[in-house]
Order: sequence, then structure tokens, then C-alpha cells
Amino acid sequence: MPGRSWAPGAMSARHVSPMQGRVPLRRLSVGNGRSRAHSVPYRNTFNRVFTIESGFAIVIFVVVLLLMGTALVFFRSSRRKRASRRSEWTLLEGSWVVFVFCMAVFLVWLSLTNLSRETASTYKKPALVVKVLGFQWCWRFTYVGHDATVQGTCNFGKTLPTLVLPRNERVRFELESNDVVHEFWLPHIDRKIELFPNHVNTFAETFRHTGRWEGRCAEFCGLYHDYMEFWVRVESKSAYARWLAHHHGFHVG
Amino acid sequence: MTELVAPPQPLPLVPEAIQPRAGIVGWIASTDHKRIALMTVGVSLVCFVIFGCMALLMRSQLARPAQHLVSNQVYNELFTFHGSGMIVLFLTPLAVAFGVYLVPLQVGAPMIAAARTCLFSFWLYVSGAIVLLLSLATSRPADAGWYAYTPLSDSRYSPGTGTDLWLLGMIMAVSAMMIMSGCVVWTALRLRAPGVTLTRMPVFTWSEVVTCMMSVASFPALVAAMGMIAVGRVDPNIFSHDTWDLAYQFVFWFYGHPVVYVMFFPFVGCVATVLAAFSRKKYFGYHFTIVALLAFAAGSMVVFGHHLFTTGQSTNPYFSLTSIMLAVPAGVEYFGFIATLMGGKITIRTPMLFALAFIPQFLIGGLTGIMLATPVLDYEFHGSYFVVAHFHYTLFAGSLFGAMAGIYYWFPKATGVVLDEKLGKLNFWILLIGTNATFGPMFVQGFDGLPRRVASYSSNLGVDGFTLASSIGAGIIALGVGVFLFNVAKSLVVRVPAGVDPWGLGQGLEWVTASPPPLFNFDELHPIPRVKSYAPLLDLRQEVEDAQVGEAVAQVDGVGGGALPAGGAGP
Repeated sequence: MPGRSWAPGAMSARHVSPMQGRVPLRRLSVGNGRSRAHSVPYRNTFNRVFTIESGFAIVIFVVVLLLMGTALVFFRSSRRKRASRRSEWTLLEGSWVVFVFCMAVFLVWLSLTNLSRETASTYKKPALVVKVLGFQWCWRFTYVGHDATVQGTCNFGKTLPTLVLPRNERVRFELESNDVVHEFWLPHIDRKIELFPNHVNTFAETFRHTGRWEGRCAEFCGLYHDYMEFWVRVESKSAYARWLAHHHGFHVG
Repeated sequence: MTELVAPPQPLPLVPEAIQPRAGIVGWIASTDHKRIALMTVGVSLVCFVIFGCMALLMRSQLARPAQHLVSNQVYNELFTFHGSGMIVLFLTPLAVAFGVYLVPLQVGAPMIAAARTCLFSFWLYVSGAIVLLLSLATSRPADAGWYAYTPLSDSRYSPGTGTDLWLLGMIMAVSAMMIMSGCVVWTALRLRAPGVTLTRMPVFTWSEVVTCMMSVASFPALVAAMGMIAVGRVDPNIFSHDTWDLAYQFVFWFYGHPVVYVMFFPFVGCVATVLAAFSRKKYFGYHFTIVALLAFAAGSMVVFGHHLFTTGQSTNPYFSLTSIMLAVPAGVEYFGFIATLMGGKITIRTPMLFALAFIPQFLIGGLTGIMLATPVLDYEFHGSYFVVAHFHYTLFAGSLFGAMAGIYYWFPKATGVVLDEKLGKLNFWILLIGTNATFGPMFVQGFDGLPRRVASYSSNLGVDGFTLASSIGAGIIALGVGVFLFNVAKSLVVRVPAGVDPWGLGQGLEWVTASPPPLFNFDELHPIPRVKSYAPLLDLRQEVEDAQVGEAVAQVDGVGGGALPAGGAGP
């Protein structure tokens, strides 16, 4: 197979039977060694929103703990003759509702603006369209207009399929399932979308760094759901073109 | 003739003929809401142990990477039964049963509305539990996950009677809880004692009313969804239209989201009750809290789409908006918790410990819920262990801790004997450590890319330490549950009598009557006092306190307050 001679040694998958153990998947650090952070713009969106919401969550959590602690220190029965009889304070309660409402509106704004920016890229013109077909328990990637198709050996992870993509090009994925509902997940690119039978789902992504990541199915799809994995490898444009030139027709691995 | 002219004897309030029947028939055929509720709680706790053991098996398998103690097939069955069992056969019945026991007492009703229907729903629930568990006895038990997405759950991909029995069990148990919920709402709306207006119902009763309205409104969707699968099991070709697969997910989650709140609100009510009682204050912000509960329930019906963010076929902005806005009623509830503690005279007993732990633990579940309601974050977290951590923080670290607070608080009322305080505190600390050791690390596992529902995983994910911690934590939880069951058994054997109110702090009407309450809840020895607010007993206690202060002022004497109007020893 032409593709075999091209593939670097690190790519060879070891043969392991499903009952003995797992294919040793490895997250390769590539380039500057920061394969996770800033690998794609999408990750940046995730990082930004996650940082803001985490900070927000931590502040709320600490404030609640401090208030509880204060109450438990200063209002213990040993320190108090009698309890307060106040049970309503409409102005304070109303102000709190307005405050929480404003916080919620901010979070909605944060969520929706980032979502719409991300959704918009799906509808821009892509440089490459890849059809993704999921089936129990394997993947097939078809490069539209290039007569190239890649699929795993599909016997529970002996050879996982590798999705090879060009760097800095918008790639549109068109995903469909052949049987049950699956989910296409690129854990280190922070994107996932479900694959339905009889329906095509779409999303677009631009990969900014070369490297290799593992991808997997994230929706329970039957007996060997946990073996339904694949590789994503991002190459420079020239390396990708070379790879594509060697991959006419149907390829395994 | 002489008998006819004999002077009339004063009639006993409860005629001899309808005294509770002794023996087992007196229990299984009882229309007494207290017995129905206790039987429901008992069955649900048995289910908790069964499905908890399944969780322990799963955690054993996941303790190390690439480990196969059980096959993939068995593992898939385990999480299917653990999920559906804990939700449909444990937490939902426990939540509704709390209402069946307490709502009639708290509104001063002699019985539950539609008592025979309530008894029927209990037996429907038990039958559903048996049918669902019978699935395990077939050659291929249900293994499509608790939300059983089509077409995986149809007869092509999940053949055999196992899934059929599971479907039937789900329909029966969920329908049972829908019916039981109706009885609780009816009781609160129609059988309140004179003086108990809607805005004098305790927060707990309100939480049950709201809960039961949600279950009446949303549980039919589960029956519809299971019906869709059933049709698909007869003719799988139905699923050749995408509409059907997507519609199934929508219909299922129209049940699946509100049911989370059904499993959660009554325990918020428990926490609110316990916090108020042990702070010796009325629950703070009653009216805002009631409105928040109602708004929360209404909101729960329009957020289900956040389970479908990654389907590519849902209105993500809309469901993100509605889901995040639920932070507003949640914020009001938290305000009430904290404000009730502030200015109180706080005593810390076992129920209070559980209620206090509920506050930060549920908060973790809620705050991560906001992240999951943000689609750009959910695209990463959906279907990962981050979600597993999130909902176990809401349902285990939250709801179960609230339930434990409620159980420790009302156990003396229901059984007439008190639970051991030292064992209770031991139980609390073990559960606290176990819960956080189990579910805390799951956030990291999900963040690092571990999908849920995998029978094994590769060590190259770099989460081995975290999965091992979760498995050890699960063992600690099991120990904590063991201590709890031992405490219950010991208390029932040793039998330290509880009196009317062993805490001396009760605020609701359930604390004026005997422990356990008589057949019709209140009798000539335990009449319903005047109800002027949602904390009638606290009102009476404060009146006594004021009278004593008045006397003390008059006598220029230092007599301390705190005497109770209705028996019982202070802590």
C-alpha cells in the first residue's frame, strides 16, 4: 500500500486483542510541545469561556463558604441568647434577585456570543470537505472530490483509522451514521457532534497546528463503544498534498 | 329497649372498627399514608442498595485501566440498570414518598387524598421494580443505557425480551410515581386544616407541591418515549426516518430534565426545614422562595434541549438562554439558606450536618451546570465524565445529602424512636469524604477526555490516579451507607423513645402529634393548634418566650426562656 511507506514509525498501531487490553493510544506532543493549548481557534474559545466561568464559579463558591462559615462561627447557640425573628427583608431579597438576574444575563451573553461566532464558521466556504461515516464500531473518512477513503480495520481497535488534515485550511465535516447514534469527539480540540442515521450533520474547523490527536465516539453505541476510536493528524499543506496523492481509492489505517 | 334509651356515651374520635389492622395485611393493604410512605421508602432503599452494588462493580472495573473483571456486555447492563434504577426506582419514589408521609401532617389533614389510589400506585411501583429487575434474569438484559436512544434500543440492535421487560418496568414505575404525586398535590390543595392557607404551608410542603406538579406534567412524556421504543421494537423500519430518532430524544428529555428536579426539590425542602429548625428561626424569604420554586418548576419544562446541544438539530441558543436563567431561582434558594442561618441560634446535630454539607456540594453541581448550559463548553463536556461528575454532585452530593438530613430529622417522628447521634455523625463524615473522593476526580477525568459509559479505558489518558481515587471513594461511600443501615437497625432494636419532638425545635404541625402519629394524624390528645404562619409551632414557642420575658420583667427576675408548648426535651 503506498500509504504504508509514507507513515512514520510512531504511527504503527500494536495488535492487541480486545479482551487482553487496549490499543496503547498516545497523545503525541508536537511542535512546540503545546499540543493541547492553542491548537485550534476553537480551543481558544473554550479556554476563554471556561476560564471566565470557572473564575465566576470559584468566586461564588468561596463567597457562599465564607457566609456559611460566618454564620456557623457567630450564630452558634453557645454565643446567642435568642435567634433573630426577622424572616423577610423585601428590599434585600429584591435587590439580590436583580443582581443574580444581571449575572445570569451576563452568562447568557457570554454563551451566545461565543456560540454564534462558532456556528458562523460552519457556513463559510471550506477548503476541504470530509464525509465522516460512523458505524458499529468504526469510522470511515471520505475526502470529497479527491477519491480518497480511509477506514480502520474495525475489529475492535487493531488498526485505527487516521484522519489526515491540512493545517490552516477550513475543513467542513459532514457526518452521518450507518446504524445507531454515534458521536464524533476530538477531545483535545474540544468539539463534538452526534452522527445520526438518515441525517447529515455539519461542522467546520480550522486546525492551526500540526500534530496528532486521538478522537473517539462519545455516545454510547453498543457492545464495543469503548473501542470506537480514531486518530486525527494535522499536516502542513505540502505534506498533506503528498499524503493525498498516495491515497487514491480505499485505504485501511 | 333499655339499650336504646341508655345515655349516649362520648364517641371516641377514631371508632374501634377503623383502628389500624395489625400484622402484615395491616401494612400491605393499608390506606394510611404513613404506612404507604414508609413502605415506599423501604422499597426505594432496597433499590438503592441493589443499584449501588452495581455502581461498586463498575468502579471496581474502572479502578485500573484496561481491566476486565466483567465483560463489555455485563458492564453495559450494569450502567443501564444503575442509571435507570437509581432514578426511577430509588430517588423519584423516595422524593415522592417524603411528600406522602409529611404533606398530610404538615397541612393538618387526617389522611392523604385518594388513599386507595395512593396504595395502588405503591403496588404499581413495586410491580414495576420487579418487572424491571426481571430483565436481569433474561439471556440479554437491557443494555442500551438509561436513556435508551433509538435506534440502539430497537429490536435489531437490542434483541430479546430483556429490553422489553425493562421498558415495561420503566413505564410502570414512572406511572406509579405520577399517580402518587397526584395524591400529594390533591392533599395539599384540598385537604388543608382550617387556618392552613396556601401561604401558611411550610416550605417543605411547597417543595412537594411543586415537585408533584412537575411529575404530573412531565412523566407522561416518559411513557410516550418508552411507547416509541416499543413501537420501534415491533417494527424497526420506523427508525429509517431521522425525525423519529430526534423526536425520541426530545420526548425523552422532556421527562428527563424535569425528573432531575423531581429528585431534587423535596430535598431542598428537607434542607430548608432542617436549617430553619436548627437555627431556631423561620425560614428566611418564604414568599420569594415559593415563587422561585414555582418559577424553577415552570423553567424545568423548557430547558430539556440542553441535553441535545451536540445533536446538531436543536435550538442551542434558546436552550442555553433558558438553562442559564435557572440560576436566578437557584440563587433565590441559596439566599434563603444563608439568610436563615444568619442571625440564628444554631445547634449542630446530624440532620444539620447533612443540610449544611448540601449547601456547598450542591453548589458545585449547580455551578458546573452553568458550564454545561454553555454550548461551546458542552461541545467538549457532553458525554464525558465531566457530566457524570456534575449530575452526581447534584443528585448524590446534593439530593442524597438532603434526603439524609430529612431522614435523620423525621426518623423519630415516623418510627417513635431516635437514631444514634454518634453513629449519625460518623455516617456523615464517612459519606462526606467518600462522596467528594468519588465524584470530585470525575471532573478531571472528563476534562482530560474520558468518555462516560466505557467498560475500560487506556492508561494513556493520564487519568489513572483519578479513576483509582473515584473507585476508593465508592468503597468509602459503601461503608457510609453501611453505617447508616446499621444505625437504623440498631435504633429499631434498642428503641430509645422519641417523644412528641425529640429535637425540641420542630416548626411544622407534624411535631404536635404523637410519634408515630395516630391513624388519623391528630386526635383529642394531639389537636391541631392555631396556625398563624408557615411555622406554627415556632410561633407558639415565641409566644411562650415573650410571656416569660414579660413575667420576668414584671418580677424583675432572671427567668430564662425556651420552654416548649408541646412536650419533648431540648437538645
